[in-house]
Amino acid sequence: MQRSYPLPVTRPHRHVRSPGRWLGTALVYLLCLLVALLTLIPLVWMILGSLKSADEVVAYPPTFLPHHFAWHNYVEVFTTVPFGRYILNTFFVATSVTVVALLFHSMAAYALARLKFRGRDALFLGIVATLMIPFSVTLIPTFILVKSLGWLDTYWALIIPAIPNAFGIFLLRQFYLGLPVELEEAARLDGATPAGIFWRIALPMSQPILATLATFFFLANWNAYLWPLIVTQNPNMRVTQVALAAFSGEHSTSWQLIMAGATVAALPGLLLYLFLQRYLIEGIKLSGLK
Amino acid sequence: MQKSKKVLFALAASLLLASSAQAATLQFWKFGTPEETANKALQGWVDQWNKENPDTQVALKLFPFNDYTGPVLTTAFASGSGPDVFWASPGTFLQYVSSGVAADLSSIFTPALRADLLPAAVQAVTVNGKPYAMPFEQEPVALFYNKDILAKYKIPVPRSWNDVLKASATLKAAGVTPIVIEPAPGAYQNFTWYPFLWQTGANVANPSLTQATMNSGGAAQALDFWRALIQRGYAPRTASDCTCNIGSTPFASGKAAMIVDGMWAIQMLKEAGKVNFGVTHLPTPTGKNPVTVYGGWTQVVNAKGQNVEAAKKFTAWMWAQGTQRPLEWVSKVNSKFSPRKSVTAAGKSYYDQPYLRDFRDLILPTARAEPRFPAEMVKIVGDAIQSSMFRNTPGQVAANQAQAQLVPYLKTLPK
Repeated sequence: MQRSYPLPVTRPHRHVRSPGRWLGTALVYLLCLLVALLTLIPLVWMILGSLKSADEVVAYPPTFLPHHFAWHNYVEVFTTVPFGRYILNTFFVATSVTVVALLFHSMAAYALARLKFRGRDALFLGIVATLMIPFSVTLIPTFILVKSLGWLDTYWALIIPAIPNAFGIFLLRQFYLGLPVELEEAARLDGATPAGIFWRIALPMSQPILATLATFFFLANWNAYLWPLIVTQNPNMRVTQVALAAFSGEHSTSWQLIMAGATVAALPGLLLYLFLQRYLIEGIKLSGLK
Repeated sequence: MQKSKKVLFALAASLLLASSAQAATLQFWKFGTPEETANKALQGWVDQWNKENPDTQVALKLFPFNDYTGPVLTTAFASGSGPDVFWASPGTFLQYVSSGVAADLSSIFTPALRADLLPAAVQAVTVNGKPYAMPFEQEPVALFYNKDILAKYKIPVPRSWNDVLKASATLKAAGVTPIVIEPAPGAYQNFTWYPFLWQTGANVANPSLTQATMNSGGAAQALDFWRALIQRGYAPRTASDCTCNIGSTPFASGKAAMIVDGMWAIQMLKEAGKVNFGVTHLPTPTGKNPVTVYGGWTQVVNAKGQNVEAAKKFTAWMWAQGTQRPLEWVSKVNSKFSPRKSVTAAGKSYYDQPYLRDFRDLILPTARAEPRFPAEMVKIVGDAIQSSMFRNTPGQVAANQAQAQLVPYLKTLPK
């Protein structure tokens, strides 16, 4: 006698969707596309503005596409002021801060996550508490410090005060807390010192979070304005954002040059974001911060 | 022991000698970029001074305009590293006087200079009888009008507020933007609104800033006039840039018939060459006399600087000695007036030109200096203007609200 087995209940395959569900997904995609387009509007407006003449960029009513593409605006940005020098200054400062900050932050974060010493948690709390102090409060004391060190109008003034950053230490510490301890214990059994474990195991494993922080630090320093503005007086020490602000005068503003300069200044940030966006999103997911 | 003392003394003496032999360097700060014509001219003067005065060198430092009076000067003075000489706006002037930063310039305000300066200009930089800044320029505000548009619609040049409203109704019906006034809140909007307030005989406060007077009927009238221009659709509610940049306004492209703007606009309009324009005094309430306002920077010497006397000497050399440099500043480098009568007289041929002649003969005699109100007062008055214009708040209500905020604020000011 042949036993009859109940046939397994087959569920509809996941990719077979009802029309209602399909419509819902399409709407979500449409909404995402719309938001993406809206996000692009300022960027597009900046690029189009950079290609308009001085009259057209402030014309009333405004035009969307330039009547005549004023490519010479880009030449003018580099010829009326030493904009190339400003870009180099900014690149040097942003890169230096990023590299040095990542090195010191990762060491500090690892120590706070793994080493046991008296006052560790209080120290960490103190570091995190500095996030609560707005920059405007520390601006003048830091300026006095930098001035008394004789650093005004030097790269030291632009780089050194930008390196300490509680956010980086906090983010890296949280990451190191999540690393499997077993790996480090195995290394320790093989005779590795704490420094060796940090350099050979923890640091290589923290590449995604380091890439995220590198993007944050580089962009923040690339776009820095207030601090570079007040610690530099020599035109040769200017950074791009300060140089762009100088195109705005008392009774007139060269918007077309500001737009052209801003487009050039935005390129490194955009390229960096394109290359590192995967890490950036991963970092945001890891830390729960943005 | 004696020998070591002698060595120490010799060392100290040589250090002192070395320091006194070193040329003092005055820091001279202002806004803008080295590429601007005005700053090129100033750099030329600085170079000339440095050549003539090897013992007192001057270094001109320039900062972006928008942050010059804010973060740049504030941080510098707060940290004790402010410049020896700098330019101040009327809005920040009192702050420098009350904080002891502005030096008393009585020693360079000689009787001859005082006699040469217009009384209003001296008054604007005087506190308790002492001058604390050197005035060197005046830029009055006027009504610019498009001759072709007014002629096309057979509209006479408006003289009164009623004329403006009547002309605006005609122009609006014809699809022309009747008038441009500054829509964005801030010191510039207040600056261009004050003349309308003053024309009524009213003011924001008494001259010693001890009593608020915004609740007078005049303030309400002036607020209502600007409210009508916006609420009736006669003036644009937005602007792509400050209307002080006349090139960015519909007036410069021939689409608006009138604009309230300053003397600096002449140069911009002439260079653009698109509009056949005229200039007249600001319209007044019927039967009232024209009054306008003039702006302009002043030069201040840092009383806490290392070389106060040298800084005063440099300031006097720039603006108070002879007429060549002050005239170059107001006629070749810019289109302005000097507060010194001798300079205006020396530039007669320049001021005899079209437009400038109107400003000299018609507008400047009615001009008052921009008030030296602190930022808090500017905000209170600005809120009243904005509330009237864009929330359609009746002038008297907005004026009373401003009065209620001004009264306690004025009590906090140093007497």
